[in-house]
Amino acid sequence: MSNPFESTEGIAKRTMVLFFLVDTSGSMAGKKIGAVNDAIFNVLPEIRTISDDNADAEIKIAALTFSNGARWLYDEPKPAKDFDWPYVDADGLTDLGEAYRMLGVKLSRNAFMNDVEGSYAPAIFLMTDGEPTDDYKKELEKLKNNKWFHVAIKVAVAIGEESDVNDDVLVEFTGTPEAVLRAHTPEALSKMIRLVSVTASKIGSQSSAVGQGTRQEAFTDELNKQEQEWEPVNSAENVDEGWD
Amino acid sequence: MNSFLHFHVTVPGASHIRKGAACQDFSKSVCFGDACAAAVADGHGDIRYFRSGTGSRFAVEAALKALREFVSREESCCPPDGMDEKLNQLKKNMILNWNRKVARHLSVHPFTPDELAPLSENRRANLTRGKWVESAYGTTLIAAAVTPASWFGVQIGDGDCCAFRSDGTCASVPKEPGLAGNVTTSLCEPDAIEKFHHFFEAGVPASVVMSTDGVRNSFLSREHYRKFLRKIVSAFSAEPYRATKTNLRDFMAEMTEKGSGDDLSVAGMVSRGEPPA
Repeated sequence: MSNPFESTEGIAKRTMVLFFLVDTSGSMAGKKIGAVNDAIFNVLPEIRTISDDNADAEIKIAALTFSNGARWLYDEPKPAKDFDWPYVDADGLTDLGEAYRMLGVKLSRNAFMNDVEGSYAPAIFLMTDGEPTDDYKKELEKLKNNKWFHVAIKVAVAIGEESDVNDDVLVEFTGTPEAVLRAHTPEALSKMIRLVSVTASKIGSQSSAVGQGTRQEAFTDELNKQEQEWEPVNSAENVDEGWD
Repeated sequence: MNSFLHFHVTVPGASHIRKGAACQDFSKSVCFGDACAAAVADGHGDIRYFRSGTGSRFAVEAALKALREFVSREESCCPPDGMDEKLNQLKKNMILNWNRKVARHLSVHPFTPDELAPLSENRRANLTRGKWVESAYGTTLIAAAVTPASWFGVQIGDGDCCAFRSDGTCASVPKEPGLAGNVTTSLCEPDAIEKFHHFFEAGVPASVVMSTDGVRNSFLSREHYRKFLRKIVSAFSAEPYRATKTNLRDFMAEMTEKGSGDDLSVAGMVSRGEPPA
């Protein structure tokens, strides 16, 4: 006798979306945008491996750049194996508010979060080197009411010197200073992008977490553990070899 | 003979098998007198909830014990008035039963250094001081019962519980609003009673089916998931019980591989009378 359940349709794996929000304003031109381009390009094979090795979840990537306005690189999140990073240039202002607004639109079951019913909370990785030039606070407040944003792993990398980047802006985004990292050098940025992408991909596709903040907590715990291994790269000793 | 048949199936998740991890789900179903009940629970897994496989078993046992006592106390024709209050007390009893089981287990089996070592310093310190020890056993819980005149269900955490009426429509136990992206509420939370929801309906459904979240998470949409539940009900209504249970278990073992990779549990009660719509 055949198994009557074999004809069941609609079975599929869960997904986790990794969002890159990349500042491509004029001040990112040169070494900074070069480091971002190289770092993201170089981390993709590792993310693909994590996705392939994770039999429970497929990792997808969505990338948004912002300068004068903001734009998505693709119309929908791409499976890691299909995501190519098109080297981006830097020019213009820093419309972080517009980036937040567009992110909020896509963090929805009717948009980028429309995959398998129980897909994992996204991980959102913001990279910026300067002060926003639009009214970002209004859009961030709206974003904080978005349930996907609420449960997402959030991390920000401040690219550049302390005087250039307003850490408060980044802490407002992540909700915790522990998830705000600072890259003094191109090498440090490259390692951070790798560290954050890999850690978020692993932690983000774990099974259920109790409470809204605990996946973020698990992520920052893991990040802190991993960071200690390469702390010297980001130390003040290397500032002279920084972004200029 | 009870007018309902009951069933429960749990299979370990494909990802857990690969990692050599224990199954965190538990399920059970039972009849007592004219009533039938079922419960499923999903332990949270990962290093922070390192005894959640035990916690899920305790949750199901605690729930069925409380349900048995509840049904034996209530008359078979439960008036809707006052049911909210009675079900709130039922949920409190379930939490109490679970906490007692956890406390008893912990007193006999204190946390070991190996269990505590992988935790963050903060968490380890709390558990060592006896704070929030229930978290190590953290689990969701869904339980439901049908009586000759009504059905009711309770739920804390993710997962689903639906009753299919004779006309084919469906009623569900409500969940905590805002759960998304695999975040759940838990029996281990200090304010668990606030997040523990219930549903009551007079009248006897054609079936009540519940599942842990790994089942729904294996489907592209709610519609696909509901079709699967209807298929389960239809199979138990029409086919021999043992064969159906075996077929369901075999299929769920495949489903976890192709779908969520998570532990899967399905349990419920199906009327022996008219086939479902």
